[in-house]
Amino acid sequence: MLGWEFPPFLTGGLGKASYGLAKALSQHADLTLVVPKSDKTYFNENWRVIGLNELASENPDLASLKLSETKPTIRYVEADLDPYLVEDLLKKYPKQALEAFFNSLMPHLSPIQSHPSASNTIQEIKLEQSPIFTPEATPEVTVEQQETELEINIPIFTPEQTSIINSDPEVYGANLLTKIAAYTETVRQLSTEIPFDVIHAHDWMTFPAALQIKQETNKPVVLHIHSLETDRQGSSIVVPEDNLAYRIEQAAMEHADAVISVSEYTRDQLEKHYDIAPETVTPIHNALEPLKANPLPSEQSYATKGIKDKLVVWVGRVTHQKGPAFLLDTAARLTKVAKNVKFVIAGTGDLLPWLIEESAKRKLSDKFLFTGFLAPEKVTALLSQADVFFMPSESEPFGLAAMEAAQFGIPCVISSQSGVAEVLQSALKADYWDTNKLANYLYALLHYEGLRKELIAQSQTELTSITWEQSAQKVLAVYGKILPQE
Amino acid sequence: MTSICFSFQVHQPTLLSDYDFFQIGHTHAYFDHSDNQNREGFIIDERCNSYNKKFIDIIKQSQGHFKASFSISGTALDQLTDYHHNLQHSFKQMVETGCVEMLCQPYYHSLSYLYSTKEFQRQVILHREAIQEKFQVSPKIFRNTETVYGNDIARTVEEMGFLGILSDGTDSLLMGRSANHIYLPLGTRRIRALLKNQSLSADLAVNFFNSTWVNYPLTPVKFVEWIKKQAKNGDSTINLFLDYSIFSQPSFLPFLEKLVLEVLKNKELDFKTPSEVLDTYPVKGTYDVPYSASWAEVGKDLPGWMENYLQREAIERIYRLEDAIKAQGDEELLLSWSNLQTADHFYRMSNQEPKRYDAYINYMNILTDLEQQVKNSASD
Repeated sequence: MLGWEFPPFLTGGLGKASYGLAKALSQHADLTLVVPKSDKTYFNENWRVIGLNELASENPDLASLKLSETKPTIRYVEADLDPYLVEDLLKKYPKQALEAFFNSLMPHLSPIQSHPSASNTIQEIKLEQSPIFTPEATPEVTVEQQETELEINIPIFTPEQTSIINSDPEVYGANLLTKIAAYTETVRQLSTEIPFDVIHAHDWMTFPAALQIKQETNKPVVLHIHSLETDRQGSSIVVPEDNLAYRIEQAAMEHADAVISVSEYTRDQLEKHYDIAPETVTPIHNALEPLKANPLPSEQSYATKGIKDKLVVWVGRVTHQKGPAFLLDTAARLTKVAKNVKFVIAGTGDLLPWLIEESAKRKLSDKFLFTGFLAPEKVTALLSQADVFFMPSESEPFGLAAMEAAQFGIPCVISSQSGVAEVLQSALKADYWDTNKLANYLYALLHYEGLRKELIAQSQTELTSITWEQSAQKVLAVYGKILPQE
Repeated sequence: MTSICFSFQVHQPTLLSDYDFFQIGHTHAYFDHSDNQNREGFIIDERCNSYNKKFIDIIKQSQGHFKASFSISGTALDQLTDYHHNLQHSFKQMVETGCVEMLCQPYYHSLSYLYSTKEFQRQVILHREAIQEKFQVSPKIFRNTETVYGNDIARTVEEMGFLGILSDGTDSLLMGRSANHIYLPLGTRRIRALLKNQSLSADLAVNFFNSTWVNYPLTPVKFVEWIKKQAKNGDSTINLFLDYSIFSQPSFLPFLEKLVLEVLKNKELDFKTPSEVLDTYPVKGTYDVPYSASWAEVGKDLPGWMENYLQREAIERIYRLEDAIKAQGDEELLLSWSNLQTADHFYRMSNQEPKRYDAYINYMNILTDLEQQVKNSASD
């Protein structure tokens, strides 16, 4: 299994979901998970988690893999290193260089012709599709593009280089593509050391590696879609032929043996924006680990709440995808009528400065509290004081945070454009643009006790039936379909 | 002899308008008085004229041997009066055949008995007067909203002069006895309980339209056979309690027409109105349904209407307004409050309703405004 985010290094739902699913799967399958960064001392699992950072610090020589000794300490990383700004990267790297680079990693990454909105400019770039790219292969790039100061620095990694790259404390950040390249190369080497039958890859960062090993071993590959470029950037903004992440996603899916999406919503997005036939995608919802102690906020924790106002809480990155503009509009509508409400924004992101400025401009600054990035235990403390969890995302493949809030006994108002809406019957749902309705829901939850009680009671019931074991069983069924029959 | 006793419930609530929280304190347009044309499901409208005409034809064809009873809620009566004069007239024609008995019920089709005996009595009297005024008959038989029943309800309506009361005939409370007899509600002297024949009523109301049912399509001959089987035990009456909306199903009235002919071929079967049943057959024993009014207090579920927090909160809050509303004597407020009591509003918040949260929120927004109105006019 190939993952990217993994606890204790979390920035979003991907790491939690990969962990939850892997843990449940390990009860039924012999599982090795390879992630860029792990902390062996954090886990004491009976399955193998290989963090490339740990390989690097121990010994770049793969033959001397040691895979289990542990002692727990917990570390969290700031979430403001945005995983998703591939566009910025594209500015930094000449497009052709990256294309060439990823062609070398993933021979299947072909120009997109099937997508209706793809223009034909892409076809001018006829890149050599050799498994190992060398500078000599560049002449096929047209002259026009070569004029744009094409100083291609193609990384062909030595073990020392991958070791250095893999030691970077950030799993995303500015050198994301380089990291993906290093990851791909290391995974390729690991694949010769570790026996496996199925390749299961989580999100586009791991897809080049997955297809690379598929090509070398002919083992079937399962792609697990937690999030799409069209979610992260907005489907109207993504230009398929210019967007490498999009192209990796689409090319990989076209060559995968099976595709799992975290929701029916994402399956629909795949059809709409990637031309992937819905019948070829299996939606498998995320789940939650049961909480250890009674999660419901006690009277006591309410007593410690320092703010008299009712709290509407937002937890997550403040990016376009999460709908901050609709948050603001909803807040404006609600606070016009309900004076005793504050919105707590727990998280950072590229649109946080915009949100802060805009809320001041609209004379709403007294209605907002910005906490910045919060470590998970602080999020828990915040949730224990929250009255409502609010997630107006424009496009949310799943939205694990809402399910976690429900688990803590916080009623949720979420957008219908989310995967979690399919499983959380006890959440109030409206289209993200229908800020009047969203405000109406928030108002009702803050004022009508019957609704609050009913939603909490219902979520506690329904969450007990949403388990990783169930999801793991569905994943195993997908494996069963693509594994050669004995 | 065994009698078949039909009772049809005619009801339509005064619909609520879409009322979001911005309107609280600004507008008091709680009800959607438009003609309800866009509503899903059955509605009372001009199409019902033809159903009623057909029904009267069936009575005439039987030369007055086919009989039935109707219970028209006050909110439905209001709509007949306001929008559908012809239809109201056709109900009057039914009554004039002498074969149709009008029953009494709480005017606003409310669950008021569970919260306020005083309000319940007001609505029953209001309804009785409306029936007298519109149909020139005085109802003797009572059918509570959704046939909610208990010993105390029977006692209360006995004190109000009623001779009979309809009840659902819950099997567990019958303790093995047949629902096809007249019973004496425990703690009463004069009033009699008529119990619904659950299985045969369900066969008509539900199974009749289910093409996967083993007995589909149900023929009048088959149905009469089942009735005769029950009648063989010496049972007095087969009480078939149905909703009037069944008339809108194209296959039902033609079936009924044939059923009447089929029944009347049998000397041991006939049709009777509830009052005639009570006049004809002896009491078989006592019927004991100990709870009802105490349901709200002990938190007992009334499935469909009082089964979750939404419904309890909403219904408790509406009845909390009673004293203040009645003390003020503002007719507009009283009317709004009354129409907000209709059970349908709470049914829309029940667990099987996908839009229950929206229904609750809309209702609570309206209720919040009504509460403010009451408060404001009290301080004037």
